[in-house]
Amino acid sequence: MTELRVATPQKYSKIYSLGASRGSLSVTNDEIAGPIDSSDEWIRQRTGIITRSRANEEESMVSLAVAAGQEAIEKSGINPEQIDLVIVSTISFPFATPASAPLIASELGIPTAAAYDISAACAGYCYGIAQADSMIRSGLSKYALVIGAEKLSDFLNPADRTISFLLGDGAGAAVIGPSDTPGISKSVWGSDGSQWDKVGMTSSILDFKAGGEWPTLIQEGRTVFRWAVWEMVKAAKEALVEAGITVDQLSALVTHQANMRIIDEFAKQLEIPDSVVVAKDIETTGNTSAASIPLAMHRLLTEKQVESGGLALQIGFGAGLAYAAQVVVLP
Amino acid sequence: MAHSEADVLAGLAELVNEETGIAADLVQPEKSFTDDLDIDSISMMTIVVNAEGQV
Repeated sequence: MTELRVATPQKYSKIYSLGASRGSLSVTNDEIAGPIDSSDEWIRQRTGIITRSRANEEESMVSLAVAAGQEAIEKSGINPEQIDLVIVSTISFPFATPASAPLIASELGIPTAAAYDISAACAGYCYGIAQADSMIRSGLSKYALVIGAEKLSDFLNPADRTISFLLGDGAGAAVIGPSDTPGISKSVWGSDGSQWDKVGMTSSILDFKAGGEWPTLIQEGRTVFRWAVWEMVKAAKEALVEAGITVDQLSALVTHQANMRIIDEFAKQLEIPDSVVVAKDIETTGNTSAASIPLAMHRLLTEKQVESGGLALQIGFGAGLAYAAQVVVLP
Repeated sequence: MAHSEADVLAGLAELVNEETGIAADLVQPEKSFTDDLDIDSISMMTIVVNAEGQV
């Protein structure tokens, strides 16, 4: 009988480098408080946000993704031509098809990679890392570029009091490749579609076609908050068990930057010791959905709040509801 | 297991103190969370969920 040849597995993968790009406008609470009948004080107290990054008119989700990807590739030690897999996680690319990934790959000088977008909202980057890790270790890919990129300001209603004031624009990227030592633990991921309607859009593009309002982001804040803390802490604990480590062995906790109150309660419920740095990039970046985790991790490293080689638990969670978590070695 | 009203109040006061820093003895049955104790909705929800976990 003829035997098929299959991909040659690779034992481990790791993150080689990160790249970051934030919208060039820094928007204060005072600038957005008017339409939602709020104040700087209220927004700071409820969300921890002082300013949020927003794209200017020249910047797009693609340009932010390319800038972040460029930095990640430059710092990786890998040539763009060597990258054979590009995964872009986004909810704000304004075309149903084609995907943004082939365009972004082309603009980065990556000519022939497998390239596709994934839609997993605030869990998207960690979904992308899970996929890249899996494909490198199965032998399907050698070097992967995972990007979380969003221009959420295209899809928000300034008068919405549920979520609009949290949102920012930006992109974060990671180059992942083979490693001689473990660099990415077994991902813990899942969904709860019974809560599909708890965070999402006001309507569909078909409703818009029929003459309705432009679809914008909206959420049931309390329900999402409750799930994001108490259910997601369970997922975080599971990720630590899969990684074979305890919480005190971490250098950093990098949660999706949904809301500072969520981050603080999450760290408290997980019993994070003082030795572990908790990422709080939301304070001046806002909630950038799929971009939030790579942006926050990039900032921890750039500001030397953590050191390369330490362990970080990253967990993304949000619309779907969907979540994904893994422990990674900091690049 | 049945709890006395005093036990419930004491447990709640501890949760309020942990979440907000408000002194436990300020948490009294006639007080309003929002009007008297100035606790916002996020803190209220945290207190409720933590209280549920203890029941």
